[in-house]
Amino acid sequence: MQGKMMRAAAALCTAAMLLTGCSGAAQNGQGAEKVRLMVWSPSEDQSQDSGRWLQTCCEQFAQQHPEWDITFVYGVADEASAATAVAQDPEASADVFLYANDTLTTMTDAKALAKFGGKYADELKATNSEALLDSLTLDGYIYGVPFTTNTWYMYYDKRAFTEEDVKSLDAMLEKGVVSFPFVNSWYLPAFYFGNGCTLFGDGTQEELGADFGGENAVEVTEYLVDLAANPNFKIDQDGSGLAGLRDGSIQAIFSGSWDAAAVEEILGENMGVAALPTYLLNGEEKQMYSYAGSKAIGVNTSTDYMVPAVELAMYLGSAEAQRLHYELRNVIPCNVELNADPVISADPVVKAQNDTFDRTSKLQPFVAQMNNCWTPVENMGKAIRNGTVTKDNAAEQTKAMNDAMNSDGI
Amino acid sequence: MKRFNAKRAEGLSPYTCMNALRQGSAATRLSAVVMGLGNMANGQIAKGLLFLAGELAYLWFMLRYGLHNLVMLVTLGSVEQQEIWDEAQQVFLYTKGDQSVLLLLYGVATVLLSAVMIWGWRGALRSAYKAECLRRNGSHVNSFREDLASLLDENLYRLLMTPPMFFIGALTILPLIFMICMAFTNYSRIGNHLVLFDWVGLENFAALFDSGSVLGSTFWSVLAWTLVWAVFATFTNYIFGMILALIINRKDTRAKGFWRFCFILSSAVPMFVSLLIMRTMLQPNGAVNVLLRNLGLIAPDASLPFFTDPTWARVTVIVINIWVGVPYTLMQLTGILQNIPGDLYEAAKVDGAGPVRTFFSITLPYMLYVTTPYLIATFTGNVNNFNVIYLLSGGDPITDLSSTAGSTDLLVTWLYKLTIDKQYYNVGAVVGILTFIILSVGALFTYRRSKSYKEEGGF
Repeated sequence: MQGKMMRAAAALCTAAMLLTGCSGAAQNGQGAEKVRLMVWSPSEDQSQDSGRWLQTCCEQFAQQHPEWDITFVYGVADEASAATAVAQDPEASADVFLYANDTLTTMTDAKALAKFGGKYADELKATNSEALLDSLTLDGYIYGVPFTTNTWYMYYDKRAFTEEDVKSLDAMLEKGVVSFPFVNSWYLPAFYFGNGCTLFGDGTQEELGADFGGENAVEVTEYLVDLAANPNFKIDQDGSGLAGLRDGSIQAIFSGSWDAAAVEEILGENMGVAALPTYLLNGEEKQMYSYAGSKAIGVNTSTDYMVPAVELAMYLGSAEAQRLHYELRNVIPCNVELNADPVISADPVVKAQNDTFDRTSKLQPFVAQMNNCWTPVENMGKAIRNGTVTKDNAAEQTKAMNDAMNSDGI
Repeated sequence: MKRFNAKRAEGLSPYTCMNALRQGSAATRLSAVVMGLGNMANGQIAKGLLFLAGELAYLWFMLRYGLHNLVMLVTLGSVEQQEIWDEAQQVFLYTKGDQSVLLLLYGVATVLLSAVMIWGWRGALRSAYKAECLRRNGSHVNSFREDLASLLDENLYRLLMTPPMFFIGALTILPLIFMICMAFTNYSRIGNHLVLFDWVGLENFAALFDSGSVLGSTFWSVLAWTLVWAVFATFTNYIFGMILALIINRKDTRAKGFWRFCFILSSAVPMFVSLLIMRTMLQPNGAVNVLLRNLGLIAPDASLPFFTDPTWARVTVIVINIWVGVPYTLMQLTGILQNIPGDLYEAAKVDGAGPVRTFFSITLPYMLYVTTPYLIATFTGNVNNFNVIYLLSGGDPITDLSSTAGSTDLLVTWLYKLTIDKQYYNVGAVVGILTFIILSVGALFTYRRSKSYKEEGGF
C-alpha cells in the first residue's frame, strides 16, 4: 500500500520533472517536446473521399503548436462504439476520441474520461449553449468538447405534404405514407414522452427511475397498436424507409443529419425537413419528442500528454474545425457563433436540427440505469409489430416494459 | 480398473521425493532448499547449475513481483484512481488506480508459475537422489552432454511436448482459470464494479439457480431450448444426411458424383454468408415474404413470422441448420458407407434378408458404431453453435420483456449478450462454467456407454 503510494509519488515527480525539463528545452529553442497522440474518429472523417477532416485538423493543430513535436496515430472508432473500447482498456485506447454523449457514463464508470476545467471550461461555456453543455455535464463537470448536436427529425416530400400538414402526424397519415423506425428504441419513446412519461425525472435524477408505466403510458401503447395497423404507416427497418422514399412508396421518414445527403439526392428540391409533428391521442394533440444528445471530443484519463490532448480536443471542437466538418461532411455545427453565420443558418437541415433540439426534444439521459431502458422499448416495438401486444394486453405489457426498464435483468 | 493400475505400476520409480528426503545424503536433502546441490555433489555440475539458476530466477521474480501479486489476488486491489487539478496547466491529471482485472490475471499467473516451480523442485530433488543412488551403486551417472543427447532419444517426448505445453499453459489454461475466477467475483456493470471488484463466493451461482429471479428463470428456459436445439440440430442433420448418403450410395443410382457435387455445393459458400442472406430473406419485408405476397399465397399486407413468432423462429433455425449442415454429414457418412465390407451384405442376401432388415442389422449398427464419437462431438458443437443462432435470429424474438435472452438464444449466445452487451462478466462466467459442466458430463457419460468405447478396436 505504502509502496504503491511511493511509486505513484515518484511517477508524478518524474512526470513533473520531464514536463518542466522539456518546456525549458523548448524555450531554449533546442527542439520541441516529443508528443505521441493516438486519435480515433469514424472512418468517414479520415477517408480521402470526404476530405480527410481529421488529418487536416490535426496537421493544422501541429502547426499552431511548434512547442510540441507531435506524432499522430490515427485509428478508426465511430462515436457510438468508441466508448466501449475506451472503457474496456483505457491504456490501450486513444488519447483523444469522438464519442456520442449517451455513452458518457460507460467511460466515467471505467474512470476513462477526463474532465475539462478552468480556462478550458470557461471557453466551452462561452461558445456553446447551456442545453448542449448539459448533455456533457455530470456532477457539475464538463466531460468533452461538443462538436455537433445529435438528434432526429423528419424528412418529407414537399409534393405530398404542405408545411401545415407536417405539424400533425395524423394529418400526414391521411395524405401519404409515413415510415417510422418503430422497432428502434432511440425513436419509439417519442410517443411516450408526448404523453407525459419521463425517464429519470429531468434526465439526471437516477433515483426516480423510468416512468413508462401508468395510465398515460398505456394510452400511448394502445395508440401505437392502432398506428402500427394503419395501412399508411410503414415500419422503417434496415433502410426500408430510404428505399421507399426512392421508389416513391413512402413520402416521409424520420432520421438525422447523417441521411440528409441521401434524402437530398432522392428528393432534390422537393426535400422538406421539419421538427417533429404532434399526434392525436384521445382527441388531444400531443407533441412527439426525440432524444437530444450531442457528439463530443473526449480525452482519455490515461494519456501521457494531458495538456496537448486537451488542447487538441479543444481545437477539434473549435469553430474552425466545425466549419470544416460542416463543409466536408455536413456535420451540423453547434458553436453559437457559427450557427449565427448566415450561410449556415439558411441550411434547412441545420434549421430543422436546431429547431428540434430547442423545441421538440428531451435531453437523452446518460445515467447508468439508462442502459436497461433500450432493450425493453425495442422489444415493445417489435411485439406491437408482431401482434403479440394488443389493446387487450396493452396495460399488462406496458407495465412489463416499465418493470424491465427499472430492472437489471438479474 | 485393472488396466489403470497396470499403467501406474509401469511408471513407478524408486527415486521419489519421499525417499530422497528419508534416505538421501546430506547434499541430496539440502537440494530441497538449494536446488541442484545434490546434482553438483554427484558430478552433474551443469544440470545442478541449471536447477540453481531456475530457483534463483523464481526467487527474484517472487520478491520483485510475485508476492505483491499474490497479496493483491486476495484483495483484488482497493486503490482508486486519483484526480489532481493542476492549476498551472489548467488540466486535471490522473494517477493510476488499481485495476482488479489485471490484478486477478497477474495473481493467477503467479499461482500457475508457482505450480510449475513446485514441479521443478520435485524434479530437482528426484534427480539429485537418482544421481546419488547411481553413484553409490557404482553405475554410470549421465554427463550433461549425455543428458542432452537423451532428449533426442528416450526423452524425445519431453523435448517435443515442452513447446506445446508451454503455449497451452499460457494461452488456454491461464485464461481458463482466469475466467473461472471471475464467476466468484462481482465483476459487473451492476453496482459499478468494472474497475474495482471483490470476491463474493458463490453468490452468482445462487442467483442463477434461484428460479424466482429473472436471471434464474431466464437460465432454465435458455437451457431447455439449448438442449432441444442441440438434439434436433444434431439428429435432423444426421438422419437427413444418412438418407441422402444411402440414396446416392445405392447400386442403381447413376451419376453418383454429380449428385454428391450438387448437395455439397451449398457448403462451398462460406456459412456466415449463407446465414446472413437467409436472415435478410426471411425478414417481415424480405424476399421470401414479398415473393409469397406476389404469388398471392398470403395477403398483401401479411408476412410469415419467421423470426417474430417464438415457435416459428425455433423451427426456422432448425430447418436452416439442416440446409447448412447436411453437406458435411453427407460427406462423412458416404465415407463410412463405402467402408462397410461388401461380404456382409452378400451374406445377408444369401440368408434372405430384405433391404429393411439389412439396413437395421448391418448398416445402422455399423454407422452408429463408427459415428458415436462424431455424434457426441456434433452435439457439443451444436450446444455451442454460436454462428447459426447469432447470425440468423440473433436470439429473437424476445417474449419476456425483462429478460436478457430471447426465445432462440442458446446458452452461448446469451453468454455473449451478458458479457459483451451488458457487461455482466461474473454472470457470464457462471453461465460458461455451467455450460462446460453440462457438456462434459453429458459427453463423457454417452461416450463411456457407447460401443466404440467399450469394444475399442472391435467390429
